[in-house]
Amino acid sequence: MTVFRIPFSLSLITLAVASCAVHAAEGSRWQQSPAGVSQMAHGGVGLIQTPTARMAPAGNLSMNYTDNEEYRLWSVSIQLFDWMESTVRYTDVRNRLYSDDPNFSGDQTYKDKGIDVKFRLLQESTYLPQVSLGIRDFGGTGLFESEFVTLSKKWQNFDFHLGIGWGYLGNSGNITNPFCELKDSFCQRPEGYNGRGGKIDYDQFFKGPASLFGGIEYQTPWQPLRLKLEYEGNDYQQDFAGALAQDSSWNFGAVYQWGNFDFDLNYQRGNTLGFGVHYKMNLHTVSQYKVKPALRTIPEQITRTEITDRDALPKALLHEAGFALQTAHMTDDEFVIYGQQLAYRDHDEAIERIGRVLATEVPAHIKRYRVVNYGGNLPLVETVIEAEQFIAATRYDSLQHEVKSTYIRQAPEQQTLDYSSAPSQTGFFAGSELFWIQTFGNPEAFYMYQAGVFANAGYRLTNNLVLNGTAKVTLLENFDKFNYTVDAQQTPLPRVRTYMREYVTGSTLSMENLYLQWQDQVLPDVYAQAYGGYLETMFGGVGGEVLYRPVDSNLAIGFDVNYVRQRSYENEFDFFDYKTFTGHVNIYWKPEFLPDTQLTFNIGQFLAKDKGVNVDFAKRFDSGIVVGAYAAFTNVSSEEYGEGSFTKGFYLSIPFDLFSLRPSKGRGRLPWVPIARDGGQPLNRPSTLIDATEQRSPFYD
Amino acid sequence: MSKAMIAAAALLLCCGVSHAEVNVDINGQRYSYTDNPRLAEVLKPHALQQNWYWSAAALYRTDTQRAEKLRQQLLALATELAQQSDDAQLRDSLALLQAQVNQWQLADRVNMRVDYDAATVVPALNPRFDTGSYRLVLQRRPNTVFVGGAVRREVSVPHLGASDVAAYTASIKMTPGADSEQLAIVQPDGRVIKAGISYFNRSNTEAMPGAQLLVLFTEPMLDQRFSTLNTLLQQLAVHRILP
Repeated sequence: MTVFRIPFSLSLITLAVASCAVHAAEGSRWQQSPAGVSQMAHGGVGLIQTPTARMAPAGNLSMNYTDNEEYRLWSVSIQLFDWMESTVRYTDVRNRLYSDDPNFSGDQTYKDKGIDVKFRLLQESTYLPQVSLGIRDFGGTGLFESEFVTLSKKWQNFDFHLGIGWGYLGNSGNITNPFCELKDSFCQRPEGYNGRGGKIDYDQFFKGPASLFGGIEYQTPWQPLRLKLEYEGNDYQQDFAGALAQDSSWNFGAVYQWGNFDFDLNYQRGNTLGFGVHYKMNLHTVSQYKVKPALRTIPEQITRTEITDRDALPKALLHEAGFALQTAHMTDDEFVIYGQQLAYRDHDEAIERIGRVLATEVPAHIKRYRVVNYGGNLPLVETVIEAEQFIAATRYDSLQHEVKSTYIRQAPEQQTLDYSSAPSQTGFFAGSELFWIQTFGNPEAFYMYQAGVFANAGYRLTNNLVLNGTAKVTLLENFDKFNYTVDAQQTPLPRVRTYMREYVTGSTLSMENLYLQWQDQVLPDVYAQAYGGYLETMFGGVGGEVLYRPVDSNLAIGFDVNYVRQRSYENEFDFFDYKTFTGHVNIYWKPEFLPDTQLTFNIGQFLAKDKGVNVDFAKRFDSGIVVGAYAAFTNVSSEEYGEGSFTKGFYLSIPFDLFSLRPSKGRGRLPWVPIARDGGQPLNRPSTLIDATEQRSPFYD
Repeated sequence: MSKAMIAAAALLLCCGVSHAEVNVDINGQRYSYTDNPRLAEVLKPHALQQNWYWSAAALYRTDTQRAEKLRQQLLALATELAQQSDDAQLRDSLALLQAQVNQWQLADRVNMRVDYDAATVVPALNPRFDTGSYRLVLQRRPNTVFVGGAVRREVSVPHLGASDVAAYTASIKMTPGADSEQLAIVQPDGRVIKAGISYFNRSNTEAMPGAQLLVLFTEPMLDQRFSTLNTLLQQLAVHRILP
């Protein structure tokens, strides 16, 4: 089940215009770009049924729908790096029911999910082909489970492909498995899957029948049109949809490109018409037109000797630089401002805008500006701007006017913080967010959703102490179709998450959380928080967290400890008997060898008292979109865990800035969790220090 | 009397020169500015005299030695590679490259857009000159493209409109060790892009009039020095004042 939260200020109208406003920047190049690669039926770069060694440009995302009689395939394929492609897919098998029990799943047809990866091993050169290795539909029920190695060689407008496949791609066995020649264990492919599905079945790799496959893609002289001819290695006798008649191993088709869309039409197996629609965009270059104030011009002569209009500075900072000024302090030669950045997610742009306002609003004798950025009540980053150099750079007083070299980011100096008492922030506050919970592949209906508002309100008792509460108001849903609540699988683990359906189908108004929270910076570079109350939908209790995070460091490390009790789904305030300690050592690392990537390790005890590590891999693209995947490995066996074998999931984090015409901060997270059960489940803490201190060493922004 | 006049004039000239902070040579005409001028001011006397091709307009510093250092670095690396190579043909190729690079007229190109119209409208494109000496090259739309790098002889060939760079390959006599799969295009505005020219990677990439097409050296997988040589060659070509 996945939740998408949207701040209320970004209304549905904004989202509605978003799809037309977001555009790919590729079109601005004056050089003609090649038509590029195209997607196959299963998603991922390929011909019709078979993959090729080709890769899309790094950052490309393709959303695909294809249809070929028995199968309808929805997929999303992302080129994470120029050498790695990943694809997720839902398959609808038209001639098979979800289950034999109409009371359970009605007349819904069978659905299956799959994940593919492909790695480029060798780039094409004059004499050598491009070579890639891939695994299709690995783990679990894998209707199309295959491994393949494929070669591609281009000659002018013809792209030739030859591959060898095992599993689904090699079912016809048109050659002898070369590994079978070496070792007998490779001659037979093991049936079924490991554990309770959801695991990578390494022991099946490259085993059983193998086939050659291949084909040609031809770029016609009419640039939008490409033609494809393919010979496939599957004989369709082992298909989940049944043994399908195959009159020919040759498939052919055409792809027509129209803007960011590809439309394809093909004829498969000598008897089946197929078609597809694909939409592609690039996660590096996708951007949005912005309406924002012009950069303030710095005059040739600055003569100001004092601040005459005290309202002008905060107004200008807010309107021109998105900076909410809380307080300011002036010494003989320095001017310090304290506040929060509300609009500009690009730190350098924000600082340039702030600096331009300061340069024209504060006295000319000031030599240094200091900007102290707060996140909530936490002082996070101090940016020290050398005024003279900054003014020269922003007035373009030099041929090489680099603004960025005129300031440094650092941890707020104690002296800077001591200049001014922390701005008082006591009092009530309120806000709201839209939410959208969605879940795919349910027996009752493939797509189920629940939408509404999280209404948040609180009272800040002191700078560091806050009482916070969130009410969930459901406005729109089809969760009334649920025909069962807790699932029938019997596992020895406590049901810490599998009462999900009970929780989300309670009353239309419910208390999401209600807790008291304390947060502070306790040492240089060290932040701490403590909280207690109803912490999330399913648990309440007390907890604390400490995080060490130096400014602009590649590494942050901390820990959290919590004692929690399971909340009742029968009413808002009661608890069940289940109690546990849960907590982790948290390591956040941006390795230099993987550009724009963050690895997170949470090592400790999870909610079901299982011990282990949750590993999270997040890749950031230039547009700010982050694609991530995580998996929890604990001391729970796959049998104890149940269907799926272990907790894992994927997510897409999208900056709202890509949807709004005005600069904005904040993100929406679209998770996709194939199956989540009780093992490897962390407490959803109402706030985490890594999020609260994002500005210290930004990964997301 | 006349001697005294000449002495006074020489003194004035001397003092005038010593007070001038910015000296600019624009297509052979020299200008001195006591205050640091902005680009539009420097361009103004010439901007509307001819139909300049602003994409090929370039500003160079003539009182710094960055480009010359880069040239020496490239020559030293080519010498080292030649000394350590058993391949006589490759040694010859490197020697040809050295001879070619030695002939290049260089100055430190300032990485900026030089365009009078843009400078009068966009403040960021109208920066102030730093104190020093400059050479500003303005030209009408060139009708040639220069081919250099790992070639037998550097040549200039007529620019082909609406053609991809592979169309120039007939005019290129590559030396042994040359990379026949791609070219580096140094566009006259200073941008460097790579373009495939082989049967498998040819794409429609055009060279602007006045561009340099650089044939690079094949980069062996285990010897990074050829990659460095190629990088230096591309960097250096940007600083070149074309004939």
